[in-house]
Amino acid sequence: MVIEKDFKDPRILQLKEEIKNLKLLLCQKETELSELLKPVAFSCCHGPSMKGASKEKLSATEISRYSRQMLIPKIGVKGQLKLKNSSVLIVGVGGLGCPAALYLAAAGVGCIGLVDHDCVEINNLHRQVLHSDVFLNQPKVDSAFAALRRLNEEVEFRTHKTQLSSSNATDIISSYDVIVDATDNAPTRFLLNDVCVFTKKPLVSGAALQTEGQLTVYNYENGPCYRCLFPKPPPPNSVKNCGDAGVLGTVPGVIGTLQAMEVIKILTENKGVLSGRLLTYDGLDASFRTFKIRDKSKTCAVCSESPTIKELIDYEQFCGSAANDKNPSINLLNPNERIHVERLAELLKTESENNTFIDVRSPEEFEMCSISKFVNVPINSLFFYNTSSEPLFTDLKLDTEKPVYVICRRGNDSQRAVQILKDLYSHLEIKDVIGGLHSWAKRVDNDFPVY
Amino acid sequence: MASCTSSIPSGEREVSECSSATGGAGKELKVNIEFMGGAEMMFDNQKKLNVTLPPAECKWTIRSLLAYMKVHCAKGGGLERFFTGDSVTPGILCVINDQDWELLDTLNYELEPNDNIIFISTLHGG
Repeated sequence: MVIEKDFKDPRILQLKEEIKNLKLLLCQKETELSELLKPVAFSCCHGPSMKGASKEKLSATEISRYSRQMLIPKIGVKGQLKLKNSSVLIVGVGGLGCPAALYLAAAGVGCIGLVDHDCVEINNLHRQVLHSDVFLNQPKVDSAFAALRRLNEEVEFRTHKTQLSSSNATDIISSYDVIVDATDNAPTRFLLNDVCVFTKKPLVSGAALQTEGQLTVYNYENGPCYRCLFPKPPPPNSVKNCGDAGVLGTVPGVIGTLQAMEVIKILTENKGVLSGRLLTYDGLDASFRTFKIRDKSKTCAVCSESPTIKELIDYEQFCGSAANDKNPSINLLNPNERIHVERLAELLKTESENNTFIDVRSPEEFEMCSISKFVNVPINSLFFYNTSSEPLFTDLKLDTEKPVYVICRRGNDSQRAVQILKDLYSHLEIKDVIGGLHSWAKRVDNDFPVY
Repeated sequence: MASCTSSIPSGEREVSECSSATGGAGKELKVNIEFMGGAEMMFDNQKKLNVTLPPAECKWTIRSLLAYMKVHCAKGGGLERFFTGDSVTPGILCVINDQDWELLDTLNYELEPNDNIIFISTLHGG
């Protein structure tokens, strides 16, 4: 039997708040302590200084700690020392970066750098497993640092709370041995590739979306680079991000862990590095597959013998999209074709019978949360109706005389939907809701879920 | 597993580019197509397609297969996310029998019976 507790009890709320603050304070103190313990000059590029520990041999504690992996002949003392004297930079402390960092820290890599300019959001927590509730709205690098340090204090962690860009990337990257691409957008992937080619660093690249993941190693020994495989950037509208298409947490978990494996193989000079091959993981099918990919391209713009790109460029311009996984707002309609959420609230209250309300998000999103009186007509089905010229409203049994109001998550798809509907039903008054459900949650109903 | 057999006589295909018959032509050709990384979205969300290509005057290539797929297999809007010109859109890799098509003459690769063609849309999420 479940005993119901009153979670609004002021004492419970107060204790929760106090504990959260204590945890943050504890992290602050730990950071302070680790700053004091840090060697004076940081020197990742010449092997991490390991807080004064010996570079040539392992301590008794280290032998005990790493014994289970050192027993493997392909690792041994030699391999462990290589890990100890190496540095790895993880770019993106999200779904891929968290598990990659976790396993590399646990394995005893001497120095781990973390780059991320984002703060922890609640929708990150299902997959970005280093972050927890306590660190909501705190920088991801701080959150990851706290979690990783608790796991292994012997590792030297460096945090870079910045967005990697053409102006800072070379400086940051040049002091590390191996780079992990755990980013979430095309411009940063091209940037990372080019820096790694120019600074001669292997790039362990992973990606995940929905229930599928991909993994390969670029610029390793004489293998291909990202541009050998993708000389042209993908069109911006063809790139799906986790925020729109979704991602199951275990998928970046698997790929990020495999990235750590490839890093360990590179650092310990083991064979079988996933260079010139692409590994794909299909979580639903439970299948891993590896494909042979092309060799280094003789005409590659950056890594060939006669490169056309010799310095870093503007990657956002090159890809035609921003170097993040957020969606920019679009503006397709005239102001008189749009209403604000406050007006929608009035209409729903007083004139709901005289209007038609359409929500164009996917059925999955509609099921998660919706405003009552709204009918779900996913935008994809509108594209379909648009091409098939079947009468939409007969199908939905909607009134074809009443004005139509269209809403979506952020106010972009609703504009596209209005344009399609106007083509089909030119006699109708059709408008969209500015800012979509995000605005609704902010300005009308604070209890409405935001995702 | 969906199939994509054409009921249209080969004479009506839009993809014939050569006129002289070559070896192996003149028969139906069955190939297996797979989609990964979201490329299936433009194909009614079918991850696998068994395609029976009608007899042709010349050998089927990846180029003519793509033209055939555009007419007979693709569904819905947004096809530019898969097809660009006579090829695939940048960001989509084509793998023929587990090998990158770059190793096999890309668009000009001549299809053999039961070839396994995979179109992989590269992911960028993390």
